[in-house]
Amino acid sequence: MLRNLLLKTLRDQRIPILAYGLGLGALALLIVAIYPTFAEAGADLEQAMENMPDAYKAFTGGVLSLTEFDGYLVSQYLIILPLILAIFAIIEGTGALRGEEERGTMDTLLSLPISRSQVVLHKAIATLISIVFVLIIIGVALYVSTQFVEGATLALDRLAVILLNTFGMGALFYCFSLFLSATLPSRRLAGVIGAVFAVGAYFFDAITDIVEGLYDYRVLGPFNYFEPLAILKEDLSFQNSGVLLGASLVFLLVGLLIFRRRDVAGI
Amino acid sequence: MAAELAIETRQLTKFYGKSRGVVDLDLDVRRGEIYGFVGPNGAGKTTTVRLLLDLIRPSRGSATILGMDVGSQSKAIRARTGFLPGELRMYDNLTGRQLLRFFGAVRGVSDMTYVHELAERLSAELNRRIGTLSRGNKQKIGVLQALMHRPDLVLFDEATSGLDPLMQQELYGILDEYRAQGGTVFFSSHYLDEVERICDRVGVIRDGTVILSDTLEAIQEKQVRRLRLEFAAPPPADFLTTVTGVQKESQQDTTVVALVQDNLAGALKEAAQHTVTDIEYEERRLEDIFLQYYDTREESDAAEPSA
Repeated sequence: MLRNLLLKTLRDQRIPILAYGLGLGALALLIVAIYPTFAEAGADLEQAMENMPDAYKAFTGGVLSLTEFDGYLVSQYLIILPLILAIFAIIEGTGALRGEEERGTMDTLLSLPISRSQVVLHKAIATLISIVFVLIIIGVALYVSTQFVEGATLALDRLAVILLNTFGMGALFYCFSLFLSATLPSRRLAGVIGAVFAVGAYFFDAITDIVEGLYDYRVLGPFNYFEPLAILKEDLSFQNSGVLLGASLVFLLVGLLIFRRRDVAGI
Repeated sequence: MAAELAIETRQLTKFYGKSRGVVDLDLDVRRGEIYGFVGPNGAGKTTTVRLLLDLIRPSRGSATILGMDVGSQSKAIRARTGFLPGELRMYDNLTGRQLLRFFGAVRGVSDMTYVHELAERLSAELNRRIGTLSRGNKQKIGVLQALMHRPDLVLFDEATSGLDPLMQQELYGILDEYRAQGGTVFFSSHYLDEVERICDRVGVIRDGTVILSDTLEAIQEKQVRRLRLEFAAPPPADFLTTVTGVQKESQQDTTVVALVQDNLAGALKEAAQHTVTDIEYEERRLEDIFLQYYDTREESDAAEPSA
């Protein structure tokens, strides 16, 4: 497990992988398990949803019905998944470069025959693999739980595309944090800006949905490209995930170029 | 000549914004020697080491290690060098053994026999997590990782701090053997006694610039040393006044004190013409020389009018 920096990074992340995977997997099981109580509420719940303000609907993924499993799953679970993954992504992204520099371990690491580009890429690939592991655990929990709960149906292909879309969000938050880590003078500052970006993106998407005149600006926010409800209800599309992964790649490459050129901070 | 040099810098300069790191640093470290790099805190020793490791980029000037450019061939250089700072920061969650296995894998070291041999000599604790080790025990792991791949050059930056005297002696022995096998050591330190103990040549850095670089013997020879002569009877008044390289400081009754620059033989030849009852020739240790340079600087600083 310690043959290279990629494997070492994965080893370091094994506990967070299990914690996030099992925690979010257990939450998925719970959410799916209590779905029948929502379905039973039937017409009353539909009426309640209809009376909800637009802002509430905007913040819960544009869901119009909670008695249908698709809408229920998106509003109660899938829509918040990127924000929870963002915590992991921001911690790992800001720690990858600035964190190592502030601990003083970057000097030691870069005294080895390993290039700065390799440091960035090994750490990035390892963390993206970790996010995949977390999403696989979540995917298994969701799929298995829907097999045992009446009315909860989830096609495997649609689940896979949703997880890919969620991965795109996780990758974007990670790569943006890594970019901040390469650019800003402290990990704390990078973490604060990363967190503001993630939470701000969520609010931005909801606000552009409900404020007239801002709708056209939705395309600027990452949550515009996270559409689990559309994946469940409409044709399978990889376009949104492609946009998120493309943006992630840009942040990763710019961060890499900056880190290659700048001084490594000493302690 | 360049092929014989392990480290060569020319006008190497680093500014942090407006702050001085090092200025026009010219260094020649020969292969197979232990080069002591001395100076007080803030003189630019660590900046120099970090420039050589390509951790920071120079404002101007050039540096080569083992004939390779520090900027463009940094990875190849680091495959052939080892590094140990004064307080090595490592991954506290790993044991010493795991860390060495990781570093060994990255460095392509498959045979750990040499590492275990060094670990035994230094009594290094390999099975405890690094985070639980004392500073000295961490430093031993640092020595192992710096030497594990039998590098051509090791850069030690205040590396012996934290080691107890016995372990310091053991490390000096390891470095002596390493040099005997052709290895080069760049030994940055402010402990002058250890520099005197193990270094072949010494460079003195002051305010970011190397002000002196030579063998210890040559440096000592160049220094003015005080000679005190005691005679059976007072020598004549013009005693030692015509010997080149010697300046008479005082003469009282039968005692003559002179400052000898580089002609001890001339002074003794003239003294031998009289009955000498006692001779004292001041020994100049590196510490004295070092302090002389810094005292001179402080005096000139004090003489400078404030802006």
